[in-house]
Amino acid sequence: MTEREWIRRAQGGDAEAFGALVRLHQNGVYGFCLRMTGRREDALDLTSEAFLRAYRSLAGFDVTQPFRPWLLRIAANLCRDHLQARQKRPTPVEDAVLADLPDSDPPPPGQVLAAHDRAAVRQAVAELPEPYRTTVTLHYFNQLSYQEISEALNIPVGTVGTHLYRAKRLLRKRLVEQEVAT
Amino acid sequence: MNGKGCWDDMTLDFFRMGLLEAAEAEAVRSHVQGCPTCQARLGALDLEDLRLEAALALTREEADVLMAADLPDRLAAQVSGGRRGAWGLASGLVGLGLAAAAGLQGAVLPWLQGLPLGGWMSAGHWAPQLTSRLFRWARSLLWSPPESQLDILVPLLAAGLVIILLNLWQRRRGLSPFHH
Repeated sequence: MTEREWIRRAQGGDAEAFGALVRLHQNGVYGFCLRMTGRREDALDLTSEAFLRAYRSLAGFDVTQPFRPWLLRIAANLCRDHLQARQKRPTPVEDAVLADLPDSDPPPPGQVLAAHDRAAVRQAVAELPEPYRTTVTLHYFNQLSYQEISEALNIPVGTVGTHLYRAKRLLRKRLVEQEVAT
Repeated sequence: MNGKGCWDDMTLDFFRMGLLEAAEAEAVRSHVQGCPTCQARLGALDLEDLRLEAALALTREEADVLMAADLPDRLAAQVSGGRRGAWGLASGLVGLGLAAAAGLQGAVLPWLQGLPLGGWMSAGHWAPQLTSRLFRWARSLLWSPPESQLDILVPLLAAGLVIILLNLWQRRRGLSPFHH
């Protein structure tokens, strides 16, 4: 049975079909929430809530549209609200943040991330400002295209590219700082 | 673009992402084809993407936590229960409405019309005693909350049906208050 058929059945109130959709997408939603919040318990709660909200809104979902970006949009909104509630939302990203970057001699792409282990990279991603973290996670974890991220976050495709570019610059900078600190 | 005609990192990144205008993308492509430095930079960016993907992937331990939570079955049961709950609530409200209508038909309307109550409304009849018992049972529910929706739904439906059937039955026998 295809995903579209599961969605149609779930729209009709079929709990088993909804369970199949959860099984299909739980890794993506949980992983996204985990990378966004950094806490397993929070990620599980947010994943459950995202699926329940999706179920409640499923009647209005157009089955001709891709389901995954729509679902991740719900998860992204939940994570943003959750982070705001935790009052751990980093200050809004402005160009001023990037002004600290050493423009004259930026860390070379590729080499910095290559030198660090997964935990260090994950930690650096977790410390990214929220909009950058969301974009990075949706692209590098959930494998969403720029177009899909644009639709999921309701931002222009060019902004997605800018977010990713700036996020990677911040990652390189922070990983270099971590290396210096250790 | 620097003195050797190499593009800056952002332009190269956007070139990889396919976010450049066609003319600019073509200019970058033709430069990169003849520039080993930019080819190496593009390769480094590709490698960086792969490392980011690998770093962010779920670990086995993280995946195990998710599996242990058994979300598919748990959420499916939750939405299924929610639908049953909605049906139960709707049925309960219908039962309550029926009970109210029956009460209106059997007692309130005759009282409003100034008619004396009789038939099954008479004191000492088993029907008022049964109704009283139901009310006492309902009152006890307030002090000890029900454990399931059925605890509310069944008595409400039963009360509504009993009152309606009593009215219909007594009406046929000419004992309903409506027959005064």
